[in-house]
Amino acid sequence: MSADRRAPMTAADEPVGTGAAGWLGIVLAVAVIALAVTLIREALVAAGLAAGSSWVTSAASAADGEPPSGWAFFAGLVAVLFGLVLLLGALVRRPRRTVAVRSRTGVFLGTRDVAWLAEQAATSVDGVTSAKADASRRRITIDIEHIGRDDRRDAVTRAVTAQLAALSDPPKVSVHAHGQTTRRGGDRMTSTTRET
Amino acid sequence: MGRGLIAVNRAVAVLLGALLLAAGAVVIVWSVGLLDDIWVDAPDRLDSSAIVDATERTWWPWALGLAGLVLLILGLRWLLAHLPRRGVSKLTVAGSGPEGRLTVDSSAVANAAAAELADTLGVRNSSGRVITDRVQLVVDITATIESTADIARIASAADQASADARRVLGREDLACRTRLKVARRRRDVPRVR
Repeated sequence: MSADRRAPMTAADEPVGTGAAGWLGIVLAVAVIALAVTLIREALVAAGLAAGSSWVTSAASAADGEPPSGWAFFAGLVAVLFGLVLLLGALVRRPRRTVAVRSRTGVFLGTRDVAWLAEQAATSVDGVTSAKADASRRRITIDIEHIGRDDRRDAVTRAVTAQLAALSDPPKVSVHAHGQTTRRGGDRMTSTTRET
Repeated sequence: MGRGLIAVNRAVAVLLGALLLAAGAVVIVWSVGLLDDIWVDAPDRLDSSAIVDATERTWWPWALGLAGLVLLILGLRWLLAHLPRRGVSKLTVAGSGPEGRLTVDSSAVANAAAAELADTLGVRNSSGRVITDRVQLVVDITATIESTADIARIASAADQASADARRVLGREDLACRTRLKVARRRRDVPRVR
């Protein structure tokens, strides 16, 4: 045991999703099972152990001697599309949708949770009536609606930045304000700022 | 889902995808009559007489049946591998040796760490388990926190819970991860606890 008995465990790697490789595997495994069942049925039919006609024989007989035609073009097109889906799905990176919180052991927040935290921080600012945030691992964009003529963007940026200060690499915060006066029919102003 | 399974899925998808892409491209070129330009001996018509011949051989049902069985076993194994993996149920703790092994119910330790974290202001509830993730043995804690919570305070509480669990287990090879989920519905939180 190390000298520091109060030290926490080492931080685990950030969580990653399975991405397309997860469902691709399930789809392919089901396809393999379907193919296997078809082959076994063919074998039983060919051996005379099961009633019915052989699908392989009828398909091969029907296709024999066929000249190229429209069906071949479409079959090729479908194969190309399936091939592309498989290749892209296999090569896409496993998704990372968390940000690290400053800590000695690994603490992580999902980007959607970060967006929600930002929304809550924004609506806690005086005069802000609603907030909608969209967060990635590097950037948060917040659309706010507020009453009164005062510019709330700085206050919202401060509140959100303070709430997310514990993140080890806080995302950039940009606030888009859609202000409205409290009088009916009053003018409506829209302003945008980008701050970190 | 383990890394090995994802690697298998990717490898099969790449192979099959490349094969489909190439075969599809050849069929498209053939169907528009341009295959002759690349391949002089390209057939003008499909020739599946070899398959028809094969179906009449005595080995045909055996070959098909064997291939079907092998594929069935492989396919079922592959599909079952996608079931959510269970965590690690027991951990060997410090003090184990030739005289005997000391094991601990890993979920009890993980849940104790989670319960300690749940005592923090702003944490609504928390649960833990031990899993293998990539090559690490990970104490994986999930905590639901209030949207107004002090994240830094919760992170330091997570550090503390992790340190306590490490001291209890006396193992240096464990890693820890705490995932924070923010509660979507507000609940009245006591200001003082």
